[in-house]
Amino acid sequence: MNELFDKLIIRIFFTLFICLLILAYKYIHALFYPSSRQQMFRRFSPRKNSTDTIHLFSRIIGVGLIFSQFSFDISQGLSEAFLTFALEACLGFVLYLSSLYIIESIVLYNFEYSDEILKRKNYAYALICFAQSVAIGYLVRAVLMAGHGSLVMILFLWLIALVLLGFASKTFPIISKLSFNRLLVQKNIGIALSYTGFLWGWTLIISSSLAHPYNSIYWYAIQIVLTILLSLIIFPLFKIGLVFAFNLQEESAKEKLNIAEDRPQEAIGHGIYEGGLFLTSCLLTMVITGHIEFGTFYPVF
Amino acid sequence: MNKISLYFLLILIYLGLSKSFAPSEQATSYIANEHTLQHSFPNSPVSVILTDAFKTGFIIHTYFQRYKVIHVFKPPEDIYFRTSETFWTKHLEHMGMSILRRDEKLEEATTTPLPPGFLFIGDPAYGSWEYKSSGEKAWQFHNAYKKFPKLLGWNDFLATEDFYKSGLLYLKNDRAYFGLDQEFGSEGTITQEVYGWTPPSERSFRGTLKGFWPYIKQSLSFETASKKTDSSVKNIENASSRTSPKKSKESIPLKYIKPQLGERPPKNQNKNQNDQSLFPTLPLSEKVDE
Repeated sequence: MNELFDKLIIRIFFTLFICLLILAYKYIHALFYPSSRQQMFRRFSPRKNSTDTIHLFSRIIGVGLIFSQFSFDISQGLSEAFLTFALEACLGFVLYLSSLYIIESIVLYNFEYSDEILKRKNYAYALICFAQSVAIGYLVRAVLMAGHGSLVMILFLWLIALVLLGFASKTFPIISKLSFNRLLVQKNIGIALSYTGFLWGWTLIISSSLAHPYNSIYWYAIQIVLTILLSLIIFPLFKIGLVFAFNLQEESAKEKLNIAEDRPQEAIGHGIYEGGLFLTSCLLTMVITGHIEFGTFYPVF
Repeated sequence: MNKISLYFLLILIYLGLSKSFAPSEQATSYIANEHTLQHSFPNSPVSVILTDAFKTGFIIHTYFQRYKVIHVFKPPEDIYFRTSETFWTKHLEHMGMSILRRDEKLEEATTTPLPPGFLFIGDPAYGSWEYKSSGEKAWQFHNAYKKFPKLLGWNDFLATEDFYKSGLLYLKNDRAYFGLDQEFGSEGTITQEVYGWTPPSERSFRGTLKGFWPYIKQSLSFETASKKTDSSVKNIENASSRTSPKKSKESIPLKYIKPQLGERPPKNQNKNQNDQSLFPTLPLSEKVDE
């Protein structure tokens, strides 16, 4: 009975803690976007601010994702369990917010939150923010899990993960046939969907590359790099394979410009296709690179 | 075309990095030829016996050899080495033989393949010649080294004076010596008895399938297999509890021991083990029990 009661206390504490973090986010949001400081503390009407609703809830979903696989070690007593959890959770929250700030600065440097969300009601922008929040939440969760409670390890992994994600984000214009900035200004949902598939795909690959048994930082870093390299080898095979198997008709590079300028509907279709193809290929790549047990196939003495 | 080149470059980088950092490359020393073999065993007195040779990899092979290293004043060791293909192929017929020996008096080691323990024969520090009932002289180890014949894998073999003299001649001419009646080496009767070694070329696909059949049979009748395994585990645990109060290494349930490539047990050892076990028992320690 004692144990059950302790677990209930922890669950209630956990709930209150998450609520507290969400409340804290309200104030941090004002720091993130100083131009919209007043707006956050006014009465909020979701019916009239649907883009802001997407944006806000995406951040909260991200927070939820971070804490979706947390563990409490109550073997040393409740107070120590709470303290350890609070420290790790606060660190996770800070890393999440910092990651969001950095990735937004890399990807959406041409756009302003208050302009796109509050004034122009840009759904494409809101969807991209949603994709980023979910991706970063998932990535921070993977970092916290791989870090095993070590502050140095968590910071090291976070840095690696963020560098990889930032680098990956920069490759989007090379991989996609849609023009990111132009279509985002045009509020085209297609670019948002394409980018969402792209970012989530990369997040899956990066987070799976972190899921290695940890022996030393040296070996761990090598394994991460090797997994990413292997993913880069496997990914094109799946991408080409899917296109070939279902006879998918890709638009030519010349036609891409026409899509962007003249046929916004086709850009949406192409965006869905690109996003779906990328996400599926990455998911299948992750299956190949991350979850195969070879046993003691090659001897190590 | 550029994309294809980039893709192949990526594959090459991946393979290069994997090879450079692979644990097997890092942890296992490499022997290219007899010269590096000598440098791998700088101590003396030492006798290195080749006990296994195998290769891994489907397309690009890595060659391995296992040695039993007999130190006189230290317990013997089982050590694995990566080797060059030439060295590996050259010593395929020298299984169970000593491929390196260094006496305390000698600075340079000799690498002529000779019967195991040839280093110790004729040296009064380790034993003496005694007349047998047949009238011929045979080598008898001193009491302190009475376990040597077993360690060297001699079984009931008696090293006669003729055998020794003949061996010295071969050594002088730097030619491999397999014994008077070809007892040693891969085809040798004693080697076959002790190590039950099969050359890799004879390990055919048919043989692999044959070896795999018991696993299929067991997986088809899972209930019986699990019962058998449980009973075999119990038997082993009981046996170990009879011999010693502590839980010995052998008391580890067989189902937890995975087979490893290169950890193939000798044929006769397989025969002795109960057929019900899921996996063959493997040596758990690098050290060989004296």
